Parts: sequence; structure tokens; C-alpha cells
Amino acid sequence: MATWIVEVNDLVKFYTRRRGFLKRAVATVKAVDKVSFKIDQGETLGLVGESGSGKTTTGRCVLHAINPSGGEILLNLTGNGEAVNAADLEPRELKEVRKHMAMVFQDPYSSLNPRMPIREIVGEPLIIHRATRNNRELEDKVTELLQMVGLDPNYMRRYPHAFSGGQRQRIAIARALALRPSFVVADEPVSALDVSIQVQILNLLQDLQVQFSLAYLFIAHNLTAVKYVSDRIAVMYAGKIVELADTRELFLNPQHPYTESLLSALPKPHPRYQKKTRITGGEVPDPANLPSGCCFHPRCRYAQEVCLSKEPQLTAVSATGGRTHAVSCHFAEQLELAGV
Amino acid sequence: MTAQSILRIVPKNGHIVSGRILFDCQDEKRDLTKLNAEGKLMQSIRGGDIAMIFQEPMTSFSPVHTIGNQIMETIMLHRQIRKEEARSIALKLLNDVGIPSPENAIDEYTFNLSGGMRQRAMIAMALSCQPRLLIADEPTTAVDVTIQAQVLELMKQVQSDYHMALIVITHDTAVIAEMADHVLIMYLGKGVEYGTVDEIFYEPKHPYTAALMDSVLKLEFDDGPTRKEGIAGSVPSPYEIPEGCPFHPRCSQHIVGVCEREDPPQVQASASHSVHCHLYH
Repeated sequence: MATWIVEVNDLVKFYTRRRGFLKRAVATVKAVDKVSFKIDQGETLGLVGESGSGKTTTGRCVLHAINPSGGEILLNLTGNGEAVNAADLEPRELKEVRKHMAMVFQDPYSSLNPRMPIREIVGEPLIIHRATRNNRELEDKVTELLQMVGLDPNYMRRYPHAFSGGQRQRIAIARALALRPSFVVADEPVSALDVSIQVQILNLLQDLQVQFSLAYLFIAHNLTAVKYVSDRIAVMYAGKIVELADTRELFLNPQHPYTESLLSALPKPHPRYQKKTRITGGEVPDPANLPSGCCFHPRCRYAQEVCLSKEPQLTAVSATGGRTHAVSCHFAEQLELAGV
Repeated sequence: MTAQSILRIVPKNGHIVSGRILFDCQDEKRDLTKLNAEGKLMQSIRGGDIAMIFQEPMTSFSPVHTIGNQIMETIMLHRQIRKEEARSIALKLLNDVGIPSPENAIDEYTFNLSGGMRQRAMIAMALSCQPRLLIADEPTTAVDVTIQAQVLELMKQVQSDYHMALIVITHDTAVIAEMADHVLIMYLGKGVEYGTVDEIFYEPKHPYTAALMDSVLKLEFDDGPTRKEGIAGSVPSPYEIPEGCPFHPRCSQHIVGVCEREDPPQVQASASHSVHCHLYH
């Protein structure tokens, strides 16, 4: 049994929408509402959902890049077996924990400072955490990191504009891995890249995962990319996890109507693919004004009266290979849902 | 850029050097490259016979006019009708593209609509003069997956309702599989392979097409290899297009001494399938 390294319990992040001169609160936006999951060492948890579903906010809260409004985030990253609750830490202690976690952002055109050469971009985490003693050591380390992600270290004095999108994402990955973290949040790492380059970056992430037994929280809206890299997948809708299961299980045997509609919304990958079309109408609700009961009920083809009034809870329905399949639907296991 | 040439809306610093664009115009084949881009005929074709929908509907609509005004403007430019009639046509169009309560939406500004609704309004505007050719440039790249399914379904439906030809420009091979009958694969400004959608997906000839199809991530769980290799290297800048076959530096079947020197000839693989590659020469 692998050891867990991140455990999130009932994570909540609310934003208050304010208006006018007096900045009166007009609405509370529930960006993330009671999200819980656990990630094991060396594992990839995929987090999928449409825009505004709270995926990115979840990822940022887990890293404490933004402070959650509630819930707890337990980190067991240092390898000494001592789990810490990130909320209890002093800033100095938090900085120590941050060495073990990193983030790769969506858009490599805006996540790299255009005025810094690659050497400084990749070397900055090493300088901040005083991981190298002198310039030579820093340069050696940067050389090693660039080689690791498949870039020519001779280019380390160049600036980001000299690199293509795929190369920039490699630079961002090298920066994230500079301090040998054990946990990386990858927020839509391939969405801004061309199809042929996406596969290269996904392969690189997987190779590095094996090499350093990294755990990933892989956030994406593209289900096929998530399927390619993830061991387990959590589906988010309107700030909540509606289904969490093994990748294979989720694709072949979805239990939440929203998962079904996401899967059937995918355009067919090749012309002879037998598609089960169940197009879902409507759009993602405004997170400041969520529907009553189950948030998905206005778009759900199976909705009954109970769905309008009562909010379903995420409950385990079955277990495959010791890992649970959890779903939050009043009619879990009673519906005939189509997978891929 | 190819699509912009068809509509004769190429940016000022570019021009059409050679070639022909034939369009069936009042039962007569007209070469669009010979027409004056600002002339009467081209203006009536543009928007009237050929319409285009763009990738980001937010930036291609005017933010200071209502949806209705923008659709009515198109209709009144091309047809001699009164404003009230144009408005009722606009209402019908918005209804056709599945916008809920069109009588309210017609007086909305674009920033009040969601991404999916804006793309629907865009399609309504393109359809306003019943074009015979619709060019869709990355129509679903900016929208979420459930909205993408809705928009693609809508495009298929209006295509058959209006008997239109459709050019879909996209980098997403799944959108091609979903929508296309014929496919043209382009690389660095050149068409490298042309065929039916089945030929392109299941019998690709050009190494670029083959590698592209191989980097498509699978949805099924089967026994085949799960790891994809993608295409090595990256697309060169358009100012540094390689000599000979533009794909040769990234090509796994590169013939040394040939591919970097000579432009590849067009080879016919079947009646409907052609490829530009030295391998088949």
C-alpha cells in the first residue's frame, strides 16, 4: 500500500462579490464547496470539469497559493512520515514545505517572465531556497534540469521568446522540478499546445513521474488527455466533486449523469468510432447563483423531484482493486449510463 | 489565410500571388482572385453567398451594438427589405440556432451572453443571407466540451437545413472526424495531403498525416500500445521554411539527398486521395 502524500478534507473556498462605493457584499461565490480527496505517492489524480467548475481554485488551495476558506489540507511530503496541516504552519515552516511541491501552469507564454533568461527562470527556486552554494553549482544544476526535460543547456542564456510553446512548457516543468518536489499540480499543462506537441509533454510528465516517483494533481478539461495520464479521475461540477473513480472504471462505467454527458460530448476520435450521443443542453450555472438540490438537475435527463430539493452526498458505491468508486447522485447504480 | 483569400479579406501586407479560386456564382464559374476585393460583386458574395464564423465570437462581434442590430445590418446590406422584416428574420434565425427566448436575446449586447450563446448568435448571423458556403474557423476552440457538442450538432443541422457546403478549419482531429467528408492536411502553408475522411484517418500516406493521426489520444480501452510518440521537433517559424519538403527535418522517413532539395511532387493514391511526398514518387 502506497503512502498518501496529500489529503484534502472538505476544502471550501468562497469569494464574496462586492458592488458599489461601500463594497457591500452582493453574493457569495462558492468556487469550491466541500471537496475531499487523497493522493498517493507516485500517483496521478486527474481533475476534470468545465470552465468555472473550481478545478484551478482547488489546485491552488492545495498548494496554499491561495488560502482556503475552510476545510483541511494535510501534507505528508517531506518523507519523514510526519503529516502537517498546512493551515497551522508559520510562514517560515510553510516555505520549508513548499520545497516539496510545485506547479506547472496552463499558458507557457505568460508563466515565464519574458525579461529573464532561462538560466534565471529555472534557477530561481534554487536561489530562493538556497539550494546551491555558488554560481557554478547553480549552472550545473540548471544544466542537469534542462537536459532532464529534453532541452539543450547551451540555450540557457536565451530568453523565453526564443522558444516554441512546447519548449516553453519544458522550461516550466524544469523550473517546477528544480527542488525535486514530491507533488506537482499541473494546471491544464497541455491545453495551450498543438496536438502533436501535447503528446510529447504528456510523455515527459509521465517519464519524470516514474523517475522521481512524483504525484500529480492533473487539472484539465480535456478528458482524453486526462485519461492518458491519470490513475484516478475526479469530475467536478459547480465547485463539487460529483464522481471519483479509477480511470478505466470512470470511462467504462460512469455513475453520474454529468460524467456520462461529458463523455458523450467528446467528438469522436476517428470517423468509424461508435458514439453514444446523449447531448446535454444548457450551460454551467453561475457559481453565485447555484440551483437548489443537486446542482446538475436543470441539465440532467434523469432528474426526479428529489433532485430539486435534496443535495446528494458523495458516497462510495463500489470498490475496484481496493479503490473506491464514489458518486454524488440520488440514483447512483440505478441508472443505465453509457460509458465510452 | 486560405479562408481569408477565398473571402478576399487578406491583410494589407499580404497578397494573392497566383492561383485561382473558382466559385459558382449565378450559374457561372467566377475566379474570385480576379475580382476587385472592394467591388460590388465581391461584396455581395462576401456575407451573401459565402459567410464565415470566427474562433472567438467575443472579439468578432461589436460590443456596442445589440445582437439584433448586427444581424439586421447584414440582412439589410444584402437585401432590399424594411427594418421590421429584417427584425423578424433575425428573430427566426436566433430561434433556429437554439437561443432561448430570442425576443429578449435580440436586444442584448454580446457581453451579456455566454460563450456558447455568442457562438450560436455568430452562426445565426452567418446564416442570415442563406449562404451556399460557410467557413468555420476553429468554431469550438474557445468553448467547453458540452457546449462544443451542442455547437457541432447545430452546425450539422443547419448545414442540412440550408444545403450549405462547409469548410471547417481546426487543429482538433476529433472535430474533423465528427464533421468532415473530405480533409486537406496543411503544413507550413502547403496542402500536403487530401482525401476522404476515411482515407486520411485509416490510410494516411504522408508521414506528417500519419504521425498526426498517431498522436491522437484514444478514447477506447483496447489492447494496443497505450503510449503515443507524437511528432519530434516543433513547427518552424514561417520565416524559416525549410528547403525542399517543408516537413523533412521532422520526418522519420526522410530520404537523404532528395527531401531537403526538391519540392515533393503530387502523387495520386486513389481517385480521391492525393499526397505531396517523395516516398510515393
